[in-house]
Order: sequence, then C-alpha cells, then structure tokens
Amino acid sequence: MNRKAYLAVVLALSATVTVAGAADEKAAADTAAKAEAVLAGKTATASSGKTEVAKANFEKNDAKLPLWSWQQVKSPVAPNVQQKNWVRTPIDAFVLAQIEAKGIKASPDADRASLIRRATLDVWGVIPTPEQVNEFVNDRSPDAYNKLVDRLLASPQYGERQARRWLDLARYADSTGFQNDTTRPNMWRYRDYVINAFNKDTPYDQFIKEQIAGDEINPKDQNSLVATGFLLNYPDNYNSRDLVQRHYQIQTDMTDTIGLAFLGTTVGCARCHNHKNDKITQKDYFSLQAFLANTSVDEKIVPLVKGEQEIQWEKAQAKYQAATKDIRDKQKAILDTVREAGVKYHKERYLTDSREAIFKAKEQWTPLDRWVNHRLENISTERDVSGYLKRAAEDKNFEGHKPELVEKWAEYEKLTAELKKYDNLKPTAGSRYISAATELGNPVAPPTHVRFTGVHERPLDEVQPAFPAALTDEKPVIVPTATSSGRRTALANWIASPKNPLTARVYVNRVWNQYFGGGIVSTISDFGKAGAKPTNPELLDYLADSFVKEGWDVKKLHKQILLSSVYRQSSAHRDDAYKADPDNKLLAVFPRRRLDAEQIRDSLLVASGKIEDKVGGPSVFPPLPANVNVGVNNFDNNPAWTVSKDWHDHNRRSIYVFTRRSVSYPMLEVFDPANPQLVHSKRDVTTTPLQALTLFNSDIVFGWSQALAGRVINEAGNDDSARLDKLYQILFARSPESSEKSALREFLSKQEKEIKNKTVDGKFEISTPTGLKNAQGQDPVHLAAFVDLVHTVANSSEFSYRF
Amino acid sequence: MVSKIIKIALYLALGFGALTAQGEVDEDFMTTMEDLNKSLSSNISVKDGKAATAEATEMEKMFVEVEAFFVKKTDAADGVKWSQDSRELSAAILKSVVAGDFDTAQQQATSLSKTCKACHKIYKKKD
Amino acid sequence: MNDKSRREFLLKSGMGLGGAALSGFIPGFGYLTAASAAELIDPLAPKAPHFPAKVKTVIWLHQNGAPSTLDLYDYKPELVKLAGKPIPESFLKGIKTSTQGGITKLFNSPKRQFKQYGESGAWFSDLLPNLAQHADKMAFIKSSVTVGATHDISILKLNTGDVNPGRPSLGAWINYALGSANKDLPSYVVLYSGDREPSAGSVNWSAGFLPAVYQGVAFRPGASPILHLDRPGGLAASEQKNALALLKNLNLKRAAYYPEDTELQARIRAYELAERMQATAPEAVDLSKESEATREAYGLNDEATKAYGEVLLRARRLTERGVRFIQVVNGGADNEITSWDAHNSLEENHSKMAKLVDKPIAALLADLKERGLLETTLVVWASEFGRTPWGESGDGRDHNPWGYTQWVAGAGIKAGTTFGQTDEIGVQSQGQTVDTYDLHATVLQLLGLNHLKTTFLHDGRSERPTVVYGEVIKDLLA
Repeated sequence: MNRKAYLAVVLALSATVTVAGAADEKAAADTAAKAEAVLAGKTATASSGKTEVAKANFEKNDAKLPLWSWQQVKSPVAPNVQQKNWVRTPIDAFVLAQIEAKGIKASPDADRASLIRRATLDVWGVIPTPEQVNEFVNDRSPDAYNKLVDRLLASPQYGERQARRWLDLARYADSTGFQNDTTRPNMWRYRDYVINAFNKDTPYDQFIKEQIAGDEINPKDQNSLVATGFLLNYPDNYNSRDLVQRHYQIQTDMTDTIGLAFLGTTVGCARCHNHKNDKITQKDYFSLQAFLANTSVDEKIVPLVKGEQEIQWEKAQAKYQAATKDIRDKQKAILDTVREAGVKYHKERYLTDSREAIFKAKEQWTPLDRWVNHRLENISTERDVSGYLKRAAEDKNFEGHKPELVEKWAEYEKLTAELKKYDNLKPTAGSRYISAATELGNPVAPPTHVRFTGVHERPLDEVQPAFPAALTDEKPVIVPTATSSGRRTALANWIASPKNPLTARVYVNRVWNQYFGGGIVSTISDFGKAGAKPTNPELLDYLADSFVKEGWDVKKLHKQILLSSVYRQSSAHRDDAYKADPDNKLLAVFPRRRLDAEQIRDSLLVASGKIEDKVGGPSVFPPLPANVNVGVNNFDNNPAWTVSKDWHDHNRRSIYVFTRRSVSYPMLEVFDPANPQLVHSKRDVTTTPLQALTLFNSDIVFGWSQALAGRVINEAGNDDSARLDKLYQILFARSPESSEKSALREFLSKQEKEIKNKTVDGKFEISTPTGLKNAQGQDPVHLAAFVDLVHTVANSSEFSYRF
Repeated sequence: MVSKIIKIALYLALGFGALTAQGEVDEDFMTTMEDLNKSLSSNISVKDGKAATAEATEMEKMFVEVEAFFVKKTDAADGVKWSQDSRELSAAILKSVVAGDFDTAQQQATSLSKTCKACHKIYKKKD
Repeated sequence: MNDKSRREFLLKSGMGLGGAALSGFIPGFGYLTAASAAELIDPLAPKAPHFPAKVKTVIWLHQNGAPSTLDLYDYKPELVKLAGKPIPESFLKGIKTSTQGGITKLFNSPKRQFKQYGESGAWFSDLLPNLAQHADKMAFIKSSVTVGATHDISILKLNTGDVNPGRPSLGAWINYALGSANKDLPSYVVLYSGDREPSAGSVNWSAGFLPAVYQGVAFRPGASPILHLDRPGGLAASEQKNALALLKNLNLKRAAYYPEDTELQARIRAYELAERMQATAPEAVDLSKESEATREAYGLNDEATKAYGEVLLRARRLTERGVRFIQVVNGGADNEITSWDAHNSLEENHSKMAKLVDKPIAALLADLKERGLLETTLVVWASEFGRTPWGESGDGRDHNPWGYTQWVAGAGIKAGTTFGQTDEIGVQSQGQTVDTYDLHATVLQLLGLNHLKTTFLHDGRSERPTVVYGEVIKDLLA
C-alpha cells in the first residue's frame, strides 16, 4: 500500500480526536483501533506485489523480485476513458487514461498540412513537396490519412530513415577509428542491408538473427552474410601488437553492443565486477562473451552475386592494374629480396602470446591460434615489408642493415611516387569484396575465461556459453555446423524469442522515442535497475505484446503509432496542459522537436531541388569547408577525405556520407549526430551559435538557397507575392501570414537598396538564383535580394523544427 | 495527558500491528523520504511555511520509524545514531520554519541531506 | 498567446521583465505587446551576484578518465612500504568495494619519486615537474569524495550534480545566475583536446531544465575551432545585418506561439550571438598571434603536449575576453591511451597523460599570473573520482570514490594550503570530506553566489545547483 496514503489515513484520524477527559481515552483507543482496522482493511486489498515484500530487511527485496523488465510481457486491456471519441487505437486509451488522471484533455488533431509535414519528416526524414501536401489536404476521402501513412511506409525513404536510426545503435562507421583510422571499404554493404531490411519489412526477430548469426544460419545467402556487419563495426587498431588482447577486446565490444542494442542492458558493466545494479555477475558476462568466442571476420569474400557496383569497380581496378603493372612488378621484385626477413621482423613485433601463435605450425593451432593467425593475415600488407626495407636502409644500427638496401629503398620510394600518379585511375567508390563474420570454417571455439577485474591477462575459471542466470533458467541449445560453432545462433534465438522479456519492450520503446522525442522508458538502452521505470507500463507492454503477436512486424508497429490520435495531436501551446504537465510527459500536446542533423541537411537538399534520390550504394564524400584541414596524413596512403568527383554524390542523403571516425562531417556535426565510437541510443538536441553560423554562413547551404530561389521563381513566376507563397509552401507547408508577407516585402525593398550600394573589394558582386529557366528581363538586384530572403527564411526555426 | 494518549495511540498504530504488515523501512519507504526531503528543501527555498511545516513534521515521524528499524537490528549502532540525528535535525527544521527563519532552516535541511548520505554509504545497497 | 502565462514564466525563470516592459515597433509586424517585448530582454544580460565576487572566470580542468592522485600529489610512504602485500582489513572498513573475491595486492610503481616543493612544501611526484613549480599557487583538496561506479555517471555528477541526466551543469547555472560578461562570445565554452567531443556527451554541458540558452558551446579542437565565421557568397555585411534582422522577426513571431519553449528562444539568441561572433571569435581563438615564447611554454611545439597546450592557450585568450566558464576536457595521449583511466599499465598511461597536461597547465598558471589574470580567475583541477591503492592486474588501479585529490588555484583561495587528507595508504578520506556539491558550492561562493539562493523554479520545485546538498568549504577561501 502506498506509504503516503497510509500516513494520511493515520494523520487524518488523529486530527478528529478532540481533548476532554476520560471520554477521550476511549476515543483515543478507538482511534488506534480505527487506524488498525483501516490498515487491516487496506491490507486485505493491498496490491499484490507489495505484500510479498513484507519482510523487515530491505536488503532482500531486490533478490526476491526480479526486475520489472525481466518479468514476462503482459497483455494489458485498454483502460476506460472519458473522452471516448478521441480514442482511435488502444494506444490512445493507455495514453489518455494518464492525461485524464491529471484532469486535462488531450489535444485536438493537428491541421492536415502540419500533419503531413510532420509525418513525412518522421517517416522519410525530409519535408514533403507542395504537391504531396496539396493532395493530402484536398483528399476528402475518410481514409485519406490512412492512405498517407501507407504511402509513407511503402517508400524506400522509410528504410533510409529507419536505417540511420539503426546505424546509430550499430556504431556504424566506414573506418576503423583510432589514430590510423583505416578505411573499411565493405561496410557500406551492411548499410544497404539495413535499409533493405526495413524496406522489405523484415520481421524484427529475423533481423536480429541475421545480424548476430547470419553466416551460421544461412552461409550461402549473401544477404545473411552482409547482415553480420552489425558485429563488425567495432573500433579497431590494426597496429595493435597484442593480438590475443585484440581478440578479447573485440569480443567485449560485440557482447556489450548486443547487450545494449537488443536487450537494453548494460551487460558491459559486469565485465570487471559483478553488476552493481542488475543481477548480472561476471560469470554471466563472460558466459555471454563465450557465444562470440569463435567469431572472426573475413574481409575478402567474393560476392556471390555481382551487381553493377562490383562490375564497375572491377573495370576501374583492371584499368588501374594494367596501367601500373610495370611499377608494381618492380616494387614487388625489390621487396621480394627482403620479404622473408621483413615478414619475420614484422611478426616478431607482436607480444609474446601472439608470437607463440604466429610462429606455431599450422597443424598445432588451437582455435585461438587460428583466430590470431587469421587476423595477422587480414592486417598484413606490403607496407610491413616496405617498412622493414626502409628501416634496414636508413638505420645503420639496425641489425638488418645492408648498404645495398639503401639504393633499393631509394628506388622503391621513387616507384611509390610514380605509382601515386595513377591514383586517379583507382576505383573511386565501393569495393570488390564483402565482409562478414566467420568462424574460419571450424566449429571448435577458443575457451572463454572469467577475467579478474576484467583484465584479460588475468584469466580465472573457464565458462561455457550461458544466459544470465537471474534473468532466465533457459539453457542455450547449441548446434554446431560443419563450419561454425553454432553459438551465435543459440544466442540470437534466445534474444529473438517471444519469451524474452526485454527484446520487444526495448525495440518498441525505441520506436516510440523516435516519434515522441522520449521513450516510455526514458533510458532507452538501459532497462535495468539504474534505468528509469516506464512512465506508462501498460502502454509499453501493450506495444511489446502486440508487436510480437503481429509477427515482429516493424511497419505494422510504425503504422499503429502513426494512426493513433496521440500522434495526430496538435502541438499548439495550451496553458492548461502546460500548467498540469510542464514537461509534457503525458503527451497531452504533441511534442515539438528540433530536426536531427540528417533531417535538416536532407530537407534543405529537397527544398533546393538538388536531392539525389538514389537508394543505397557506397559512401560518398561531399565537400568539406575550406578551412577544415583533415590533414595530409595518409591512412594507408590514402587521404582521409577525397571529395567525390561526381557532383551528384554531393547531394545524396546524409546517411550515405562517409563516416570517418576521426572526421565528423561538419554540417552534420553541429546538429548532434550519432557518435560512432559507441552504441548511440538517443540524439541530443543542443542549441548553439555554431549551428547558426553553419546554416547562415556555409557556402554550401547558401548555394542551396540560391537553387531554392531559382526553383521558386521557375514555379511561381514573376509575381513577388506568388513567389513568397510558393516559398512558404515548399518549406513550411503553409502560406505566409499577411504580417509576415509585409515584413518580407519590406525586406526585399530594403535589401535591394543595400545591394545596390555595396561593392566588395571595389567590385559589384551579387549572388543570384541558380537554375533559372528564364532570367531574361529580370532585375539582377531584385533577384539577389530574393536569394537573401530565401536564405533567411530557410534559416528560420520553423524550418528546423517538427511541429 | 490526553494528548499523550493520542500520541501513544498513534505510535502504536504506527509502531506495531501496522509496521509488520505495511510501512516497512524498505526501498519504497526511503524513496518516499527522499522525495519528501527534496520537496521540503524546495518549500523552504520559496518560503512556503505551511507546506514546509507539514513536511518537516512528517519527516520527523518517519525517522522515528527508521530509528526503530535500526534498533531492532541490534548491531547497527551507527544507524541508530544517524536516525536520531536526522530526527533531531527534522525537529530543528520544524522549529526554524515555524519561527519563519528560512535561512537557518535551509542550512539545517542541507545538513540533514548530508546525514542521509552518510547513512547510505553503509546501509544503502547501491549508491 | 497568453500574456499572463508568458510573464509568469519569465518571472519564474528569473529573467523578469525589468525595465523592458516597453513596446517596440518592428517593421512589418507592428507594435509588440509588453509581454512579447519581454522576449527582447536578453537572458544573458549581466546580473549582479549576491555579494562581491572574487572570481570572474572559472577554468574547469576536467581530468577525464580519473588520474591516480597517489601517483601525482599524494605521497604515501606507508603504501610504498606495503606495496605487493594485501591491504590490511582496517582500511576497508565502512566501504563497499567493487570486486567480489577480494581486493588485489597494494601497488606502487617503483619509478615513483615524490618531493616537496615551494614554501608550502606541497608534494608532487616525478610525473609533474612543471606543475610542481606552482606548488604555492594551489589549494589542495585531499579529502574529495563522490559516488563512483562508472565514469559516465560520475562525470555527470561532477558536472551536473546528479548521476542521471537532466540537470544543468555548473557552467549553465553560472551562466544563468551571472549572465555574460562579453556579449560577443559564448559565455560558457567547452574545449576538448581529443579528436571528437568527449564521449560522456553534451549532457555534461547542458542547460538541463534551465532555459536552453545557458548551455555550453563546444569549440572544435585543432586549427579551426569555429567554422563558418565568414559570410558566404559575396554577401556584404549590411546585407547580412538586414537578413538577420528579418530572421529574428520571423523567429520571434513563431516563438510567441510557444511561450514556454525556451529552445526556440535560445535559437533566436544563438543567431544574434553568431552574428557578433563573426567579428570577435576569429581573433579570440587565433593562436598565431601568440609569441613564440608563449607557444613554446604551452608545449605547442611538442606532439606530446600540443593538443592540450592549444586548448589551454585558447582558454587563456577566452579568459581575457570575459568568458565566464571554460570547461576543458582532456583527450588521450596517443592511439591506445585515450584518457587517464589506467586499470592496467598505469606507469605507461600516467607518464604519457601527465606529460600531456603538466607543461600546459603550468604554463597556464604562469601566464595568467603574469597577465594579472590569476587575481580574477579560478582554475580547478577536477576528476570524476580517484584511483585505489590496490593494483588491478598488478599494474593498474581501480576507481576510488572514497578519497582523492583535486585542487583549486587563483582568485580568492588560500594558496599554498591543503584541506583534508586520506588515510595512510590513500583509500578513504578522513575528517571533513568534500563532495562534488561542496566543490560546486565553493566555486559559486567565489563567484559571489550563495548556492542556497541560486535557484530556479522547475516543475513546481525550487531547484539549486547543489540539489539538496552542498557546503562551502571555508578553509579553502582566503
């Protein structure tokens, strides 16, 4: 029973007693009896859970009750509400019940234009076109909004937007991170996998299995192989000299990522010590790691199905190879003279236990040796040998030094410089191979040990793959295949099981967070004891329960939320709602939210008409601001950022921008993008002058404004009023108010004067709209003023917000 | 005399039959106290005498229970001391608030919070 | 648009109407009402402190990853003696340690040498030769305590007073309480020396429930800390001015529909500040104007110190220009060593990390002193917790929230002193402890603010930086 209520009862009873002699003694005794009776009465009807807790020692409570999120998902019944005609889906009933309990009402529907703008931004990540807006606004059919939702979910842009959210969790990057930040040329295929998975509405449980164990479950299916890219996004340092430690670190990353992304559980906390909040011991943690123990990566899988991309890549590569054959042959010849010594030298730089594995005969390899040697093979390049040659040539004290090597090295350097001249022939994008998880064709896994305080050099007991003991009694069913241990399949099956209390809850909460700017559980990736409790547990369980019952259908989940009245509410300010619930936790008003980095950039591209609609493919390199120096440091002899030659690539959706861990793309960086070093659960919203500077001063953004101005003029003609209407239709899905229009017109005339008066360095230089179909007879000064107007309006808050 | 009986009756109601079945000094009890403490601090800050008085009174009562809880443990002398100190501080806050001296009340409230922390260091399972 | 609700909100948020209960004419919009004119009030206008301040600027040096002060400032001969042996039980009384199965043996790096410096005789290890020269500037806090399960939550507590996100950072509170001293620059700046923003995230400089305008602004590391300071496409200054005035009007109109939305208001402010920053920021962050001697002193010519040195030199320039709170977060020393978090290989980690910060911080202190800025600046060495005397894996240290060292230097503090201590081997604090709240209360005190009276009404509750805790450590004050 609620402690406060109990006290209130007692205090209330005590207040009724008055002072006056013996009668009062009886009265007092009566009061006490009453209090007890009340208590007894209350006890009898006390909510179930609490009575179990009635032991005096508060240390045991946690042990008795499993965590709320570890209890099975329930099938709650939608509660009764007063404002019945507002309820369109069960979601609404759950939400409304809480709103009504606060004594307020829900908000009415938003107007149609606002609604389509909101939904298009949420589902596609871009603003709608005026045509799409008009179609919806004018659609008088009763299922107009239904049709809109279906249309939105059916478009490939839905997949692109959802994929970006997923990539946040997958710590996706196109490079390895650390100081060398080597390019990962195949990772873009994983991005394609994710986009496609959402677009073809892969059931979530299958999505889980493909990503954790696709190579085991379906080794001949290219899609399943690529899916395991989820595991392979760990930050990596190819320079690391301790390969055995690397194995441990990579396993750690995979385990922790799986725990956070799928289970919303900070299993990683239990690596160095028993989890301080949740009932996860170190043994549990390493038993989870054991599932990953035999996991390695193959980065040179030849695609089973060659697509256009591969064909183009091979063509370009063939050209490059042909043109450079002579040079490369000469280089190889030089290196061959020191190859054996060089390779040996390189191998010896590794730490003891790695070296043991490296120099062992293949027949004697343990599973861990196999892993170590495979990794060595993966990261060994010609640079190892040329590095040796360089050292042997330049360092007189080096044991491998020979005078004739000096000449050889000089020759090699010359050839390298020659070779560089052909760099422009290299394939500019994409890759030949696929990367996928692999168990190196052998089902026997290396042992996993608990590590003392998580330090890999301090192994303790060996553990077998197992699920956290306090969470479940289930034992993993591990069925090895001929080429794989079968462990990851068992892990995936458990996570993707309808009986796993966490998986569905965590996912539906993520989707809820996407739409409403906050989860039902606000700690999106922590459903443990240190995390927040659900603000509406019945709603959460309803969503999770129906999600699983509908076959883990993600689009259905989205549709359900999109069709709800909660989602369709107006975001207009209400004094009563603000007073009752200033943080809008109950969602009585639709929550306004600034757009995320990708939505802002992509919407500007759409508005300017420059967006490239192509879906999927290798990552692109749009231009960087002039003064951003990513350094002439070469990563693997390749510069960190080579701007894409094809200008179409500059206008792709932001999800395709190359994610180099060491270089955050500035335009996206200021608007709180995901941090690819970790599992990024929730996008922040900051408000800084740096954002203002970017949107207002970036030459690229200004260029888009020029294009937008051109587009507006092309579509609206020469009348200023019509142009303003068109501009507002494009950006805000509405017409300007009359006071806005007067302000805008006044600005135009004022600005024209400024432009006429200005000179830049004695020159008269103006920026006019681009892409004009008919510039004849137009006053360039007026046009330039219009560009400034467009640029200003695009900078307004209304554009960068979802209302 | 009568008021004393009322007080005892209350204490009984609070102390025995009720305690074993209901108001445990458990995690929820402590969470309630923490919320109460935060609310009290706020009310002192905005000089809401009425609210602060009610809350300080309740705090004091709750610490009576906490003290009883630690006494029952028989090996928690420090816990007993902390709850006694807390009870006294609560009473002192009440006095300051009733007298309208909110500045002093605030200092005392801060000391009370510090006492909470000291006890938690030992007796709260996770911190 | 409800005038009453808006006015109420502004009052409660401490911005008040002040003398600006005026109406203004905005071309194209007509006259604004008094309430909407309130929007024109600058939430960052300088406000008077509760009493005269000793400090104008705080440079908050967050030592990310938690250094072992047992290897920097805390000389423990007993630890040296007992190194390699198990820890005597008595030291563990009253605390719950993390590892099941026993604490590992006590650890001391054989390379560690401690000496006393200055008139104060403060102890410094061999790892901080430059900083040791400034012994007499510091007031050490040797009985620091906090809660310390993991970095993220303890860093959050260090900066915002709570282990859960949602509260304003100390810098945001100060920004709110005192306003800006230089309207042409952000008054709360975050600088970091790593490649990317600190992974603990922007929650550590967030405004929390305070109006969004008070959050910190993070500058990029390296050569271009602020991008896009130049106007685009041949745009003249007068053109831009006009355009930004229009923008403000459009935004104001929008924001008026949502009077409680401080984010929309903050965006308006952000553009205004951005406009002014175009003129002032390039010069403020430009290190090329510094003399060769200064650049050398801060370690800009040495790869081992360059990243941190640049950041501190920038911090000094911002101090000169009236920025109120400069939150500095260190990055790593190289590829493998990304912070002070030495669970193993402490010797390697700390020799590199100490090298990274030692010379630059010493240079900063000397530089501030020379320019007379130390008299109005407070420099704080803070960390999310300390490290244990027992070694993990034999050559590292675990997290220690029960007793560690921080220090303050600069205006208003008792230079050359030490407050508090830990036990003989550096496990637990003894005597009066200094929690993060107490450190915050003391910093606020130096800024002329009574932490108990620095309040903001949120969700029906009066909130303050120190939550419900906090005690000014008077012994630290001059």
